[in-house]
Amino acid sequence: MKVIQESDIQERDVDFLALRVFLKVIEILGGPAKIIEYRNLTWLPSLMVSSYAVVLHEEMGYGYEEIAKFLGTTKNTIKAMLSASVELVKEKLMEALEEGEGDKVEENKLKTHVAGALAKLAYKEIKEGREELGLLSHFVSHLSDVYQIYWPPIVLKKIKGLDFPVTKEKIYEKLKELTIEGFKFDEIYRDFPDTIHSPSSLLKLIAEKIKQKK
Amino acid sequence: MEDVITLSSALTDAIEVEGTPSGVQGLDNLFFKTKIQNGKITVIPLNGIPKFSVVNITGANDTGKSIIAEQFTIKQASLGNNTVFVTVETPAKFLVSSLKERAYAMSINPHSIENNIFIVDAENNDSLRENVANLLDTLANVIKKYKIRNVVIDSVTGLYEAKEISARTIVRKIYNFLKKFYQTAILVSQKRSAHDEFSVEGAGGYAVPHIVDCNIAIAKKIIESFYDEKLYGKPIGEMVRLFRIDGCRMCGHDTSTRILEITNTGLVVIGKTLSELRSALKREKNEEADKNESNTRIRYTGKGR
Ligand SMILES: Nc1ncnc2c1ncn2[C@@H]1O[C@H](COP(=O)(O)OP(=O)(O)OP(=O)(O)O)[C@@H](O)[C@H]1O
Ligand SMILES: [Mg+2]
Repeated sequence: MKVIQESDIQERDVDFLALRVFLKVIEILGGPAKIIEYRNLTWLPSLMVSSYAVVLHEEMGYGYEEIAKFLGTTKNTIKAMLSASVELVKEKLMEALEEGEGDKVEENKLKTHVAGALAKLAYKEIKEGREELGLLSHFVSHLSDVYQIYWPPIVLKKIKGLDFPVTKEKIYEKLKELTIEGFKFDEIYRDFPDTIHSPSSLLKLIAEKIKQKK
Repeated sequence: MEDVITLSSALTDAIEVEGTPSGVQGLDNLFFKTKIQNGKITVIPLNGIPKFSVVNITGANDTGKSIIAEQFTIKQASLGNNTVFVTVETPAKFLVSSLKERAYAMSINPHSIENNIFIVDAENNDSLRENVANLLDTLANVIKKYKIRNVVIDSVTGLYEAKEISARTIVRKIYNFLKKFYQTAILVSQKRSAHDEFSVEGAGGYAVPHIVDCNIAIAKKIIESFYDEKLYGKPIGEMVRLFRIDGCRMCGHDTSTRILEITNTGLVVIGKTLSELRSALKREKNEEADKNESNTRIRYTGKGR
């Protein structure tokens, strides 16, 4: 009889995932500089809470009350966050950000449901592989030192600004000059799928192609 | 119209329910399917619990739930079906020795099944016990890695105890997971209240029974009257265990209340129905009455002489 050992036990890191969601929210809002520019730093606490709430709900199956207790807020707040419509906020957000410029911003308070919708959106992006690019680049460049493979951080740097999912033509535009491990990008990208869903799936595609070619 | 299927094609296309042995004597023939053959309905026993179903066993403490869970594990392992046992209440090392003893009682050499039983010790791991997502991630990993066919959880109550609100959510997640991985599963759940002994609605409110495929309820009964004494053949003050299949949406099943016995080697055996006991008692009474009557007659004739 085999007692399952530590190495087979999986643990979800809620804390880290909440952090990733939070960073993705900031990216969606235009990055730290943008948030400072709009004087919207006061948004951050409720964005942290909503990021955490979404993760507890989606990953752990916590109910509103449990989340509220865990995060030290009210059940109604959590309910408003988690039942917010992502679509609605997607439209309104742009308005809010645009009209936010100038003095008005000082009173530009973040509504609970907007915070919730942003976190939900960010969570979905991450689940679909579109990690906050800064975070991904950081890890990739760190690992590329460890494994002595230097092309992934270069690729990530070059595709900065692309809005995933993206067509393979757009990728080509950015990377056509690259030579990766001795292969021209021209040869590598030819049988890529028409749309590429995330930076990490792009890296995977490239790695697979190189392996084939070798 | 492609979306509309005729009843006859639905009947032929539907997955045939199959049984898989439970390792509990007297239990396997209580599940059956019906088939129409030559215009007649025939009942075909499954010779086991329905495969790919999630079976909930509920009852108060000491009713034999864990023993059934262990017998199922051992039997399945002996058939080469890899089984994972999630222990929530008993530390793994006690479970291992209990499984070994149980195997000997079932005349199965524990060494022969050693590689077919996998134990997830949630008793000793807070993150597994308190966080169903971690438990299911771990199970997914174990199921894939070791080609697991059956999952036993003793008990699910221990997974939602501290947080009654989400009992339903937790059980539903477990259920969906087990379905996704085509597992045959035994979930043990404890009944804490003494009220309404013989019902499947346990401590987690209505969480478990409405979600799972099959429910088995076990109750304790104290012998309280002379009638009970006669019926169950045990003295007043002693306890008997009663067993009933309380619904199964996968197949047909026996609906009577039966005696559940725990043998002196520690195995659960499902026995006679209460109505069988009653008619046996009646027969006995009639025989006695007959005897009495003839006795009287003899005496009477004697006196007349
Ligand atoms: N070897 C044995 N011989 C006789 N009886 C035994 C043996 N092993 C266990 N039992 C009986 O089986 C009962 C325990 O059954 P089991 O542990 O399955 O209970 P349970 O329903 O799982 O209870 P709980 O809810 O407390 O876990 C005990 O009451 C004990 O009397
Ligand atoms: Mg038990």
